[in-house]
Amino acid sequence: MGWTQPQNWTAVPFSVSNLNTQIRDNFIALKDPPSAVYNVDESSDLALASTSWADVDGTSGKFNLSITTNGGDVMVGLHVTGAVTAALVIYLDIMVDGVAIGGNEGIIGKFIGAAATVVDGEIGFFRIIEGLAAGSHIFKLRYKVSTSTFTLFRGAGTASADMVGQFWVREIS
Amino acid sequence: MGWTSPKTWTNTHVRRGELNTHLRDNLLALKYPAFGLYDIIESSDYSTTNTSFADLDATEGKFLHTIDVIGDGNGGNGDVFVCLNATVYSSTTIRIYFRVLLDGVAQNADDGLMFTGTFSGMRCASFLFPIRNVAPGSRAFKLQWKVSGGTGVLLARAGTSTRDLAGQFWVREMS
Repeated sequence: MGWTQPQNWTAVPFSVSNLNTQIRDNFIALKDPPSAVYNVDESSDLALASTSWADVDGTSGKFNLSITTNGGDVMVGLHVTGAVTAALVIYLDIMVDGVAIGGNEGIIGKFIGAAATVVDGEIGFFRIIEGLAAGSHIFKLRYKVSTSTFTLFRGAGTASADMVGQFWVREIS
Repeated sequence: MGWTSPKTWTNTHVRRGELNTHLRDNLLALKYPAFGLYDIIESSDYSTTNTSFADLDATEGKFLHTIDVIGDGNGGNGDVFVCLNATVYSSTTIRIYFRVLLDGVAQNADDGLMFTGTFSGMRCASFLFPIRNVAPGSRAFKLQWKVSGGTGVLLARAGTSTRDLAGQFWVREMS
């Protein structure tokens, strides 16, 4: 099953197998492409304090998602919120199969200023990874901060900051 | 090739040409829609002092994507997503505004689609903006920006110390 490059139809009898591959399986592949979603909902928020690149949470199924693709482009999406107690910059990157795709400071960064005990920073992106070969791929969210700690809200019931973000990957072509 | 509005099949012989049009070509059109993408990597970062909207970089394939919108295959319109994921910087406290033009026509209000908030330092500039009812044919999607004052910088993985980030700008037909 999965995607098969559509054939050129010629004047031959159609086999059941051929119709299943070309029509059934291809429509299923388009309707339900390989994807994985992590709803960031945990019993506690997450303190991110590394000033060198590190996993946000390398636990499989969390900020570490694996899908088996048919070959093509994958979209990676993130929306999360957090707060700081001292001004800092948080940088994010995506690691695909162990290789970071961003620059020295990743793919996106955000300065969050002055002490805040309530929601003080959202961060998100929709990133397209082009031309991945067919097969299993691992997408991992990585971070570093310039200083201090970024507290990532994880639906833990924190007063005025009980948010459930999302991290996801999906084959789009 | 491209998308053809799917036919209603009746109890007639199925012709090879129809299968190619309605199966092969439509499947390909769904799998590989009209799409343009720019990984924002340059030898220097982008900067502006313009307080009126102006092009970031109207080079085709950078902050300008011209794509062939298919629409519904019957001359009807389609929907296109426009997405920016970038990091901006300013050494003074300013706002940086963004807007999207379709075939030269601004799609947003006087101050654009979004601004980054009043800030100095580094901020995300990210949006996913659906434009509905885009007429079929060759369509140009362009990003413009302005600042409230001072100098706004959009980082382009240019190796700037502590600001070496690689953003992305893309457009894609979604239906």
